[in-house]
Amino acid sequence: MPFLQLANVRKLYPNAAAAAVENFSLDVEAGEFVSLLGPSGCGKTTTLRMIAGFETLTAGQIVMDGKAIEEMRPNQRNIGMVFQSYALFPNMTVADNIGFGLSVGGSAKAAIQQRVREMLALIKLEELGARYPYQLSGGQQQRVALARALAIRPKLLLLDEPLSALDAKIRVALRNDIRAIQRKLGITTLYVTHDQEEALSLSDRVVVMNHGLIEQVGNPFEIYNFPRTTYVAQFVGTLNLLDAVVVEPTAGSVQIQGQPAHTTSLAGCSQGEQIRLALRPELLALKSTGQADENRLAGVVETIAFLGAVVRIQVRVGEALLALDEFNNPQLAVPAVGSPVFVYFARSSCLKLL
Amino acid sequence: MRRINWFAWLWFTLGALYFVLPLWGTLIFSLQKRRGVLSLDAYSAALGDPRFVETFVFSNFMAICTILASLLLIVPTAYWVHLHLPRWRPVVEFVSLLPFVIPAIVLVFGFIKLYSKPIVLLGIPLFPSLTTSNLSTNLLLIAGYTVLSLPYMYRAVDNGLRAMDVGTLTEAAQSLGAGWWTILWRVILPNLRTALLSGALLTFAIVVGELTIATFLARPAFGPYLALLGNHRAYEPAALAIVSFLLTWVAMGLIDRVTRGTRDVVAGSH
Amino acid sequence: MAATHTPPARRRLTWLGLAPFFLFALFFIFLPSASLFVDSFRSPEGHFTLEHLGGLLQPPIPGSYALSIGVSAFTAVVGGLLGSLMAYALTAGNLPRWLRPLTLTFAGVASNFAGVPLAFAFISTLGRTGFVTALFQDLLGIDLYDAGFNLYSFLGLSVTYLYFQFPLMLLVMVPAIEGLKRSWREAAESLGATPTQYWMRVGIPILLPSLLGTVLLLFGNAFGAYATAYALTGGRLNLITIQIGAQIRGDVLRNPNLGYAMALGMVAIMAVTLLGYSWLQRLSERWLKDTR
Repeated sequence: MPFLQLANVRKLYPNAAAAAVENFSLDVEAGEFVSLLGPSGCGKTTTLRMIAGFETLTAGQIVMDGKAIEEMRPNQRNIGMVFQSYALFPNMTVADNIGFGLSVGGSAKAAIQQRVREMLALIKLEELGARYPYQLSGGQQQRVALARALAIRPKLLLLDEPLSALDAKIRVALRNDIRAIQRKLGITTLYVTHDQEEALSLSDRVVVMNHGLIEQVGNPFEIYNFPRTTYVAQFVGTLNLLDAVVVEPTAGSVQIQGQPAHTTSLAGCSQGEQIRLALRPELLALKSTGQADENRLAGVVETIAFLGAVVRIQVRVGEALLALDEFNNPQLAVPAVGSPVFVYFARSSCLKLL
Repeated sequence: MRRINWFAWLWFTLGALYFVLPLWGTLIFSLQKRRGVLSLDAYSAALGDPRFVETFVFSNFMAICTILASLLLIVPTAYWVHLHLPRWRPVVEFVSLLPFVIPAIVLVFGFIKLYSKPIVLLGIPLFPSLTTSNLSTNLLLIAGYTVLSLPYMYRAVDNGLRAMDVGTLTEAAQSLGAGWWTILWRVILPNLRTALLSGALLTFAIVVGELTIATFLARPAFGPYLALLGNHRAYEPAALAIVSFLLTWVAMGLIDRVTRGTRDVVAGSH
Repeated sequence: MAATHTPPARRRLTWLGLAPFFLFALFFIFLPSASLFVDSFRSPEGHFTLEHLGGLLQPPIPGSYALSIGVSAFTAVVGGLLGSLMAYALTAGNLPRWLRPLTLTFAGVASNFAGVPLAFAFISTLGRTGFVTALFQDLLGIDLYDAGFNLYSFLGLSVTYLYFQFPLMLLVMVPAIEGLKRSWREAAESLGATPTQYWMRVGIPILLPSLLGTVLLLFGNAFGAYATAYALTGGRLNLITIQIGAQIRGDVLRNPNLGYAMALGMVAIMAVTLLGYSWLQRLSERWLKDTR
């Protein structure tokens, strides 16, 4: 039995045309870190708020630790929550913020103090217990918010875009800290974000959502390398989309912009069918010769952009524009704009999308 | 899901009753001048009194003069502070808030003490007594009212200036060849319209019925007339109270309309 | 800033732009107050004296201060309480939405409806022959005035002052309560707090500085009031403003310097009130600095 189970959850706001969340079913194992990933308005935050108890369900069931919780009040669920806006109580010190949950729960003073010290050590802000929130940086405030949520020893930790309000550098540092703390405590965690890099780097599993529906569930490796739909493929990372015509389904041969190519994923296709193929930029290479089983497309270099660690080269192949990434190094021979080149890629890296 | 909150309804109803009852009471009372029937007699008597017309016209005239004086004083000052002397802003702000600390009664006391005698500095007479002629006393009244309006007007203008980028607008106008007067008149003022209008209306609401300063400067203003009327009439004052309430409502309604709810809350002058 | 584009010779003169404002303030705020201030320390012969300040301790002046402070404090606290409760009802009380703009507009008008007309409204309502007085008599058989109520007393004046105090509080508290972030409430709830615990330990403490600050503002508002009290009681109630008014008219004490000292005392009390207000205001702004 999974630790947290959402079954056919639906949320329809009054006067709304479409449901905010539709037929959402997900099992989360104890200790797992699961991200809900999608653009704003895709229903990921609504799902999280239904688990926390701030929104009611229109239909469906939520079971946590063997108990149905969808009728419980938020203050009875024992779920820790971290908000995008930190939501620290401005009238209390850091220590009082962290101790708030235990204090309203009636814990003894000494026990609260002990727990607050533990939590401050956990977030490495031991010396800031007496400060007020307005005296802290955004990153520090969010650490305190995390400690406050964890102080009550919740069964489940919910994080709603906790890094969105922070600067890029702090975001990465805090991201790693969140993951380390989650591992250390082994707490089951649901993490809402619109940032694919965040979701992929943090999670055991990622749930990609679109218009209230689950598009795909999988571990980061699967989501990135084997996106099932165009939506997932486009949302996660940069992707080349190529229109192709099936020539011979059993042999896997297709035509891309009039040039022959092969792919390994043509199951169920018929001859002459229009399909769409996806290619990651980093799986393409500019070479003069390749192996016999590699695909080869002839094209012309159109633009070159230095992105730091990689150089992104756009090659025009017929009517299509292919982006490809080369790792940057001082010896890299970059072709001139307008020169004819060959683009090589493995047959297996060419994915057919639904 | 939305439960009825009896506690909330209780307090709302009590508050609403307290709001409405005095108005309703005054309205009913004002309609009872003729025994046994409701009539508008009190209104025709009150509004037909030549003293009412005189004092009301006088107070409106004073209000308009005050608004003009206040605008002339504060708009250039606030603009100058925004543009050239931002470090002076706390000082100007502090001075503009002083009228909150100095009640009208104290202010007029000081006026009378200082300006009812000729001002002599080191044996040289600077001013004659200001309270001896009607014109100079009216000017003193306008000055007093301008002081009362200072906090509201400065707040309104300052907020208006904050909402636009004064420096850039001015530089843009300068680069197009505009002089100071043109900049103020054709660039800054049109953008301040809302702020100026709400400041002016608030000043109007404060000044028209003002009693304290007008009484002690012995001006034939509406406030003192109203107070006097209350001493020897019963129904007419009630009628004029209703009229004042409607006027206040119109002024506040107009402010709400022009600012659409962005107005600051401020204390009135009582 | 544009100031950097001004030639140095002209820059030295930029302060001249503020001259009209400061001249006006000098002649119509500073000099009038300063002349009262100076003369409250000066004997008729022109020597320095504390005699007039000592005179503030002679009856009936302490009583006047006490009455003014009493009425102001009472109406500020009661107005603050009622205003907050009604603000709570309007914002968090599940009342129909259309009530809010209506009530706020009404409050805007009521908080500016003061002075003589307000006094008349209450005479017509709670005076001896007033509407509500008659209502009590006709419906309940209670004569309010026999029962000890008098419009021209402490209680009557307070009830009248509350008409502008209470809506002013409402106007400040509605946006303040609306400024409480939803996530504070949700964070408290998810940490196990009941709604009462949330209000007692988070909501009300966050509102407290602006609540107390506004109560101080109301205090000052009532303390400086002259017109309403004068029109209502015709000078019968011994408020400090009424005393000063009588002093200006030359009615009573015939000691102008004592009058100056009374005015000075008023300004001192108002200054302390406003200082307290601005301190609380800053505290609240600091708390809520980057949370809006």
